[in-house]
Amino acid sequence: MEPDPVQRIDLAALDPGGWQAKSAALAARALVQRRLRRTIVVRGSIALALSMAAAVALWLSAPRPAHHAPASTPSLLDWATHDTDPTEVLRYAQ
Amino acid sequence: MSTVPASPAAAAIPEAPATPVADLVRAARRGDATATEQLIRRHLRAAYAVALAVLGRPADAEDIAQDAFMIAIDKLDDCREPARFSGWLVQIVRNRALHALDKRKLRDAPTMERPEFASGRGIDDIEGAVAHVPASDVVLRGQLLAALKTLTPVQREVVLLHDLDEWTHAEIADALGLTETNCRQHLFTARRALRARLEATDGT
Repeated sequence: MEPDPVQRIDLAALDPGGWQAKSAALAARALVQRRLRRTIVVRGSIALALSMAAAVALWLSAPRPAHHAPASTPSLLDWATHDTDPTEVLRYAQ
Repeated sequence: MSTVPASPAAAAIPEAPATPVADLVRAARRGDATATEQLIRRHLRAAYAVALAVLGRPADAEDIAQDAFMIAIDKLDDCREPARFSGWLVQIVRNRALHALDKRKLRDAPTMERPEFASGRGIDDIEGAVAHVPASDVVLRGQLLAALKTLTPVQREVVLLHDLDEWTHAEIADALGLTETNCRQHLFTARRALRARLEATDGT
């Protein structure tokens, strides 16, 4: 350590000591917590991916609603029941 | 704290002082138990020193240091510069300690300035220490805590890291975001103030 102009203060009374044992215990606890978190993240990711895949499969396999194509040519009934131009009806009727 | 470059072949973590902090951090990220323990062993007292600088109570500081280390190891992947792990850890410890201090202030609101602390004896510290520390040490501890209370937060951090955990000025400057000159100045001022306060306490 570098020399300092004012002599160092002995702060040993503030040092609770036992750092080796505390470090070992803390490391064990921290590793368990870290592994647990990683396991949760990994398993959660897998579960999320599987559920998304299942949702996509369900969506793809679902029956499609019947698609009703509009009448290609306006008829007299269309003029009577809808806002169809009568000239169009007459043109297709000929 | 001081590191010597490790051999390139050191894939597994060998002896504590030879391994740079950055390598320890990388190994700990992979879940290496030895590296994690070395990382904690090298920094736990420093974490305690920073927490003590904020909280002023050794028992609380120990709890916060351990608590902060649990968070640090858990979030090790967020440490963007493994070589600057110390500075990153100091930030976590300081934030946790400030949070704890806020909670303590709320809890102790009616009796903010506790007479036992002002007279140089933190009652919690004395109670915690009586079982295994000689009475003279308990008194000295109280006097030191009271003297530390007269310093600024940064002076407390500098003097505790330097004189308690024996960090170099370069390490302290790097961790606290100071220049080395600034760090020396803080240490000089802090030591002078502490010495004056302790001498005055002895004289009374």
